[in-house]
Amino acid sequence: MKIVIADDSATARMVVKRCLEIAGFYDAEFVEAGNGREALQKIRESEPDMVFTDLTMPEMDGMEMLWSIRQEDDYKALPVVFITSANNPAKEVELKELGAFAVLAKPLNPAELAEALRPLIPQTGGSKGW
Amino acid sequence: MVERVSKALMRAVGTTLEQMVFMEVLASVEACSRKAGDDVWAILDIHKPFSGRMGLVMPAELVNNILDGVFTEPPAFGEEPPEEPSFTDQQREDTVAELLNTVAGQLLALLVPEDNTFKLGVPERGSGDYPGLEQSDCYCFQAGEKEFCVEVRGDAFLTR
Repeated sequence: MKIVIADDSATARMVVKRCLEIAGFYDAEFVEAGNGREALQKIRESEPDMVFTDLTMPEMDGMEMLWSIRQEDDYKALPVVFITSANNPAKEVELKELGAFAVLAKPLNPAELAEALRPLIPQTGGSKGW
Repeated sequence: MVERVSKALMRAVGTTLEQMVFMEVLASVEACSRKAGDDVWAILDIHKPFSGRMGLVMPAELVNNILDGVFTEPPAFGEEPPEEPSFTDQQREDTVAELLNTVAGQLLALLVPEDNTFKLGVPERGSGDYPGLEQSDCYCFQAGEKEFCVEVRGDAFLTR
């Protein structure tokens, strides 16, 4: 399984990786990006199974990145999970209407992460199901 | 500081450090006694739903301990632990900025009604002397036997 993690903070990216490993994704290959533009490039290069992204990033934020990839047929159903400090119910609705699979608040909790990803697990067992 | 804000800040700081870096946080019951030293700091602006600023300043030694917990893999069974890891100023500043970003989000989530969105700025960061925030409230905490401080400024924090 290949997972793209986009956040301008290297610490935040490491925390997401650790939480994913604790949640059961210990065999995943992680591809990192420091902003939305870099994440777009990495998505096109690596063909990931999932994307985890922060909202506020320099150059291109998470919302613009999500909007961009949803314009491409190959990525219309790619699960994109937002992990953001600026989260509340109103923001969650806004992001889901844009096409986010899930919106989780920082600090990330492995149990909450596992619960949010539960619908994806039967589909992503070793091959692309999205 | 208004009691509701100070309680929310304690909860925000505690949740952030416990969940993000597995550190227990205690609120300092006495007046802030930490002295300026080898510090790492970050400051960010709050843009919505009100204007404000928050600052976080931590001793470099505490940040090194946090980084060690986040980035250093534990040794395999029977192996010696790695030599004392060294981290750069950039890594320390990035960590403090991310902690402040998370604390600010947690604090606003506790204070702002659910139907409002909020917007935070990108943190300014640095090492050495902390510039501080004018006309702010300072709240001190302890983690790993080291004291660190969070500053909060904004009229909305005084009236909520």
